[in-house]
Amino acid sequence: MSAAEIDPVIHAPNRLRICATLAPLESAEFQFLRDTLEVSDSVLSKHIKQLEDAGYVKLRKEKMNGRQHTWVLLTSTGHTAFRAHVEALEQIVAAARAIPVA
Amino acid sequence: MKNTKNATDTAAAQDALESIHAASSAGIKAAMPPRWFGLAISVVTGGIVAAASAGETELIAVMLAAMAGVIAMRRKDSVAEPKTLPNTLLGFAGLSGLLLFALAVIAGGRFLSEAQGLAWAPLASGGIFGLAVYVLSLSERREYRARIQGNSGQ
Repeated sequence: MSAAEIDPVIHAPNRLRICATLAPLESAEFQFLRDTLEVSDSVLSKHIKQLEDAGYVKLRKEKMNGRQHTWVLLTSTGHTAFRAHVEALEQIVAAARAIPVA
Repeated sequence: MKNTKNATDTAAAQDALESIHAASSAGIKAAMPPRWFGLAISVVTGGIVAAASAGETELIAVMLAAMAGVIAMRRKDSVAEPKTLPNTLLGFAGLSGLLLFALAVIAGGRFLSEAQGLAWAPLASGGIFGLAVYVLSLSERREYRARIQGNSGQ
């Protein structure tokens, strides 16, 4: 993939799926993301840390019924980066469709 | 060689887009409010409007507490939070319209009960507003389903 708009932080499959899950939401619980992605806590933490370092996600901790819940939300920077990444992917697919088959 | 790389790029981009649509659907599905929530919110908002129409401030406080309870119950079971505020001009216009409608229904209920002596008017205004909110909750669920189907169909 050579388009300049492809975001290397979002591009990894699990991070892409994290952003895609969060994009239509206000926030999602850590455990829900873990179950949706079918990864371990540590793998998800690692990916979320990378997204957090890039300023794409934020964490919010909440205590409910004596249990700590971690909510993950996509920041406005994350939304912008994710949209640009999706556009870049769509452009790649559209460009391939525009090339006539010989 | 370059053609093979382009084909791989395109296939990878297509796979990535499909994975995005599937993940988005999962998020939307998890955030979709359950049917009981729409019903409970419509009963409570209808109660608030009825209480306001009747000028029963204590009942308004009780209804607001009930609303807080309903929201807390929903949040307890929730793993994904939908966007709370509309992010489009149309969405804000809809929300403002609903608030104006509530005020109009309250004013109408008050006028009918105080000036015309119709004791049932506050209940009717609460019923009308509650029904409107319930219809909106059903259309919201339809919108969620359409978004899920739209994502899976792409």
